Amino acid sequence: MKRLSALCLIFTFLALGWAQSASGAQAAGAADDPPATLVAAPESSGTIGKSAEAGTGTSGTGIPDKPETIVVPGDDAGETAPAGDIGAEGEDPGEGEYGEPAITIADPLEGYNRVMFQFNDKLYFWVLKPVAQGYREIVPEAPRVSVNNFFTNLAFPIRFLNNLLQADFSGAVAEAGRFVVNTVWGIGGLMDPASSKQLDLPKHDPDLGQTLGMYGVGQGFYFIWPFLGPSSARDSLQVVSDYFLYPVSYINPWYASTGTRVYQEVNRTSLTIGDYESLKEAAIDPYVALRDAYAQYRQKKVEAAKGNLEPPKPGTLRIGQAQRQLSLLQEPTQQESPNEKEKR
Amino acid sequence: MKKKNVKAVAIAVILMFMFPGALFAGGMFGPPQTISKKEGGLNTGIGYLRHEDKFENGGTYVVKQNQVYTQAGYGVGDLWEIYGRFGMSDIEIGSFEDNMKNFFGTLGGKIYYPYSQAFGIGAFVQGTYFFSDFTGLVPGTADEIKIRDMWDANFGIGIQATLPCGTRLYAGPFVYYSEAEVSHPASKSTISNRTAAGGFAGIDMPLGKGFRLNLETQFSDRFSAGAAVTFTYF
Amino acid sequence: MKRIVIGLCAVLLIALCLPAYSAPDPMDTVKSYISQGMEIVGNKGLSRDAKIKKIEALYEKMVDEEELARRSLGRYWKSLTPAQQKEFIPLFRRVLENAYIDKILSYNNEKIVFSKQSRTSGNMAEVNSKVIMASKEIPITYRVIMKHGDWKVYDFVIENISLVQNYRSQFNAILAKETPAQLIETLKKKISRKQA
Repeated sequence: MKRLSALCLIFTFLALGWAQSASGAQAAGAADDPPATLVAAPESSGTIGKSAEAGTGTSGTGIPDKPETIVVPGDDAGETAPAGDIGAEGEDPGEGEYGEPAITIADPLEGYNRVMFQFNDKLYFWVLKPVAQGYREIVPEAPRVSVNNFFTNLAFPIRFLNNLLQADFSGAVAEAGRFVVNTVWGIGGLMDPASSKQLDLPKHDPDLGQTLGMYGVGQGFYFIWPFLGPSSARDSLQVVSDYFLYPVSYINPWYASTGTRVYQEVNRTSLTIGDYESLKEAAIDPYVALRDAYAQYRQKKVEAAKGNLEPPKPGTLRIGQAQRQLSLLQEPTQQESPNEKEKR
Repeated sequence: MKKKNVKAVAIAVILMFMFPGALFAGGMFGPPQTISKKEGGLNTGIGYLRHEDKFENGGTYVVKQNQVYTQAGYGVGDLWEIYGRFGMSDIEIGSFEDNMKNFFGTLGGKIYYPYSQAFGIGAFVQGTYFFSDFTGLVPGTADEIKIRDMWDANFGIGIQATLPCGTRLYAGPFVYYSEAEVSHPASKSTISNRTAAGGFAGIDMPLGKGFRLNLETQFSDRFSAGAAVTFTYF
Repeated sequence: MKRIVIGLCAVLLIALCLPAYSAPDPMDTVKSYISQGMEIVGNKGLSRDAKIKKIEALYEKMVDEEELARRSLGRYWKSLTPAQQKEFIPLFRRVLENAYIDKILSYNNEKIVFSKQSRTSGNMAEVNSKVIMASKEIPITYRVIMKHGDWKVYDFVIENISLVQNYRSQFNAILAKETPAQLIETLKKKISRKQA
């Protein structure tokens, strides 16, 4: 009996791995790949958890309130209080000072999460990374990128459906266009002509977690899956949905499907070796660093989705950014600055 | 009675191969100059070909083929290109069709000499091989007709003129050789046609964003036509 | 009389216009720092150590280290004694340097495009840029604050993840359980481990 339930558990995790990693395949292509996670880059969106610190009214919608402080404009207004005299600025302790919102995610299961973090960490360093490194030695980069493109292309149904769910119809059209162009003229998805300068079809990576977040569903709490990496209560739903939408899941027999997923992950890791190590190196507490990176990443993703819906009103920044409604003089876009005289 | 029918069909098939240009396998030739970028690049495309032919030998038989294929090529410096295709084709001989389908692969190479910006001359060689067989049942019987090991080779020369907007016009002669093995319960024979010669002409125009449209016709015994949409990688 | 009045008006007019013209532009400031950095890294004549020294000097000019440290500690900044605060700032810089110096030195003339800047409040602004590499683009946003007439960087947002916030959540978690002195010890240990 024990063996059976253990087997069932493994099957479940692997099945979830397909779905999560399906979106993981897209992440490698997405421009905003967060600092490495284990098997799947966190795909799901992030809103602000309803933590006690959300004093500035950061709700699940992720729109922060006005800044706590009113800063007097002027050239030398930057003269802040000397070190230690924070109280004068009047910021809310723990909040971003000067109105920057703190993006947090609740972590009631921290004990469990830390254990899982260690497990995934060991799995990466003892299994996944050596295999990926060996693979990287043998196979040059171009074919590995092509394989990655192939799997990314294959995850089209997931992105397309989420575009529709987010009422992002132009995104859905672009997504369909990318799929057709890359499949027909991109040698079955191995190449990515849709991203070329001439075509430049925009690349988005919508997922179910982001869709839910856009409609106001909060993250819930932080949750790390073994093998799959960091996620949340809300974002875990896409593990299931992606499994059914990802074509690789339907390969028979089951070991061919699993094998394909594993290969996809090894290939993807071989392209991103070093990201996770950098995160750990830069961090004082890697667990918290990863959690915070995940929360910020998901939050920005949901904001981007919302930003698509609501075009910026004149005089204010996008809803996706903090609504700092002081005299917002949008500086003209300056690409070419004729001289760089200062600070030399 | 039945034997006569089968024989008739077999003769028809044999004759079909004897007539020049009867089989236009493997897709269009394309413009003599590669569409890849000068420094060397990939190009891909999809194409469709409709070929119809008629031959007479005591009766009139029409041969029809629909081919759909995908192709990829690599070309450098406006000088040379190699390309490969993979596609599917059907075949219809007279009234005998029976849904025969087959897969084919094509390989080809081109060289080009740009005489000037707007004018040049090139040569190409192209070969096609059908991987499996066209099989079908003689209507009304349980006899099977098979066309197998079909392959062909083409060699041609073309001149090309490039208009300022990027559209290319090209035309030239070609020679063609094809062979197949036709078998049915009654008999079996290897068929090859006489060296076929003909001419081809086409137009290749840019559609924007890296895409191009290629239309081509060939004249040998009958008129054949094809179209392809290609993409050039930059 | 008239001439004096006109003269005064002229002076006033110029005086009023001057601040607008002499106030440096956030994007220009950041651009100039970044191109200085690019020069240092690309300079084949310098040894690795010489490059590091120069980059450190550039960092000191470009970044408002106190602002960066203060925001990274958030509410716990107050709980550090002034001596600890003084100690913390260079330690934090060493941590960042150890973490990112290899990445910086491996810069290989990738294109850096500055796309836009926006004022986020009276004395703060954001400058958006992108590093264009072969396989992907990395968006980097510099958050700057005006101090003593200069724009200084106080946060780096790399791929939409704010460095300050990322460290703040880590420090918050640590300082909820440990004392500031212990945190400083942890930082020292981390730095020495890197040397080993």
